[in-house]
Amino acid sequence: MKVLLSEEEIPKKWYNILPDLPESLPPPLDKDGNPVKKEDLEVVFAKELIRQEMSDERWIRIPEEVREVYRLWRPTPLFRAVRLERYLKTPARIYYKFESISPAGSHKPNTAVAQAYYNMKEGIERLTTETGAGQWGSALAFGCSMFNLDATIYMVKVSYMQKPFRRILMELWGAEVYPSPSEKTEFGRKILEKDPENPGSLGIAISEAIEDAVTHENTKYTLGSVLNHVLLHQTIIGLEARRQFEEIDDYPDLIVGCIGGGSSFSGLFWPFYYDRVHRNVNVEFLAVEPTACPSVTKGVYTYDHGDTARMTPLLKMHTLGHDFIPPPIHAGGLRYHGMAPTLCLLVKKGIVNARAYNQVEVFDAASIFAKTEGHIPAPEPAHAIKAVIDEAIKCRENGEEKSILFLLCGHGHFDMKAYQDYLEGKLLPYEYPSEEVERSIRRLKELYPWIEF
Amino acid sequence: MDRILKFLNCYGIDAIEDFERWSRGVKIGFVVNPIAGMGGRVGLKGTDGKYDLALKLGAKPVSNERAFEFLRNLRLNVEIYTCSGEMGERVARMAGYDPNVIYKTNDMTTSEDTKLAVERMRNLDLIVFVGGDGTARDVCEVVGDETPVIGVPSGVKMYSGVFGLNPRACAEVVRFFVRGLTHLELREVVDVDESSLSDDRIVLKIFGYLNVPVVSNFVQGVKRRYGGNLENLMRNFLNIFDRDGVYIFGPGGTVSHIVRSLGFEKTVTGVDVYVKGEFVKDVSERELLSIVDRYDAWIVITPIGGQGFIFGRGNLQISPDVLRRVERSRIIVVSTVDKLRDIDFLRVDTGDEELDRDLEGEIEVLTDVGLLRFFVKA
Repeated sequence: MKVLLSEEEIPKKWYNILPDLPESLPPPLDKDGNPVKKEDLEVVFAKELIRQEMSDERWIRIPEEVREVYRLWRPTPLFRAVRLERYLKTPARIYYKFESISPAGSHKPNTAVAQAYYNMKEGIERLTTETGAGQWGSALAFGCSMFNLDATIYMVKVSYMQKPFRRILMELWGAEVYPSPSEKTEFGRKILEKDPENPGSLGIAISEAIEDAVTHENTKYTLGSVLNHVLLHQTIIGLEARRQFEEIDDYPDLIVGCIGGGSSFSGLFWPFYYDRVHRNVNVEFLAVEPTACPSVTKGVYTYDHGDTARMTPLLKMHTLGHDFIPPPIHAGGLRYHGMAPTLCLLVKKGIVNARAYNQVEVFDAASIFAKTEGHIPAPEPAHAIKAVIDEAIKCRENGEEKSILFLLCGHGHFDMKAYQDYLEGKLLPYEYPSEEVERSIRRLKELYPWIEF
Repeated sequence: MDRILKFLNCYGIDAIEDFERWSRGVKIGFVVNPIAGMGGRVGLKGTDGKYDLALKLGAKPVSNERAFEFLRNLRLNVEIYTCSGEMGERVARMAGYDPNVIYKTNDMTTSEDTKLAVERMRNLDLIVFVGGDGTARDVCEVVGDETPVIGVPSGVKMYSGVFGLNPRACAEVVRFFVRGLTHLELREVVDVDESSLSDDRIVLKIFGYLNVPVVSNFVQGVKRRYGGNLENLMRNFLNIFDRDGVYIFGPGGTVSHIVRSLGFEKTVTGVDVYVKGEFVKDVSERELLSIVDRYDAWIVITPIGGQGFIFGRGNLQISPDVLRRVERSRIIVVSTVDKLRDIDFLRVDTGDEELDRDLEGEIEVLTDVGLLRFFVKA
């Protein structure tokens, strides 16, 4: 069963959570404790985006030109996962908002299109950004192509080599894609001189993209997650979903989403948070992350006045797919180091709950979903699916008729390598140092089943 | 640029770390203990204070070979700070680096030289030393857990958890370190408690901790002790033992127990030999060579607990030349299952890469529960 809206029903405003937060977010402070000034940011970001970043307005108008591009795939359907419910024999009603049908295959174009538009309006001719596996890069390439902007994308070198398909997608939309570290920037050249075989990192790619923007006229930088204005653009998801629930006269009791930088989940739950604050409805929020990168469930939250949100990446060494390193987890989008401060604050206040799963149980859930609902989820939203299945089973045990909503933020068509590893039994819960260890233990077990390991 | 990266840092995006690291360049302190490991092949339990004796017994310096192996595989354009001559400069130049010499010494170096050199490396990003447990102790005494340190294994004993598996693995760890992909771990610096050597076991004493950049599978753990059913293991060994055979027994408590069941008393840290009823204690590489030339000898060896090394740690007498003269199938690895549990692979680091590769692959381990198959890895 799916709930569809007409094109006229594409929301006309985004929802900004800042005025409704339980306490105001302190202004961003740099490493040394100095507040970051607007003027600092104007060097790399479009003015309107900075205005949105710091805006107190609750509702921000969506330009008609942006809505027009949204119409290429929006409004996205809201599905009721009847076959999954039946499979789980749960009295719970499971709904999912389906963002996979965007041209880039995920929720990312919601903000890419908006960012490209505002930059175009301000006379910018070229946008730069970084990308790891290519999700954000392809969304921005698409966004730029909609408004005739050039796009330069610095792609972490290992991904550039190992995941050519996303790169080709970006090039099809007209973007220039460089493996980072590259010869294009002074910073990149400096690294290559010292370490010619450097496989790159997100940090290096970010630095290159920013340097490119700073050193060239009419060129700006963009970011695909974490910042308030990015999350703001994503609220179109939740606003549509809320409208769709009205259509079927239901309302979610629990909203679940995966978190990397936090933009997809925020886009889904913010409008319902608005209801919770202003209409006193009862709705719970659950954020799900990988055990391999448990920024919120295990990270230290120190966002307070005079301090900054600093979630130490616990497993930095796992972020690159080097030969000798244990295989990185496959949900690349959730390995992001950053985290939206609004989300951190809401977790700290107990308004959003967080939970972590390892990738093996997550892929088990994804495979159940694929077999019942048909759609192949990306590894990132599969984390949310795992949590939903657990909750639905709980409902079966307690006889609860809960209404559960989650975000299927992207399809897994570019993640076949991950699914292949899963099907071949090569995926490991990340804790294991290497699959070979597992293999040798398995062999020992076969030989001597009575030995306890 | 800086301001923007600082801004992003507020959101937990730590691009600034990469930016600062690569903008400023990485400084590495490099110190070679030129005599480390010399005593090994001639049957000494360490070279500290026994340099003349080692020389007299025919020992050759090995650590600069290991140092070269490390530098050759590093393939990074980092700034190297080192000591003059044999303590680093010569080998660094050989490997194509233009090092900054921050400590000068004559060729007869002592542990005091190591300490003085390391003292001047405190403020660098990383210190790499080439040596064994003794050198690790010297480094630890000076820097403690302040400056990150990694050891290139080239001693007689390397029971501490501060060494890479071999020079190549060390180079790989440093490459990861420079790229910001390692995490630092406090690792124990241990050495054999000399007073315990008269007993039938090796007692390790902790001398301190070093902050070691760790990449799993590249850095060895610290030696551990294990229990397990030694009686069963001894019985299992007796079943395959041939009284008229020739056996080379490596060091370690497990092997000592087995030898005792044959009616002999073994040196715990030395390599002993059984030749058709005769038992010879504490033999050197030269003596081993004459034995393996004359007989089809068996080598009985136990992995170092927690590390998994079977060759290249604590038994340098069983040198590449000796090993090449013994068929791989005549190597008997003995261990309790208890000890195997903490070992991912059996490790070899003989100093001869080609031999290491030949030794790789599946091997059977005689345990208290029978034969188990395990993997040997370089």
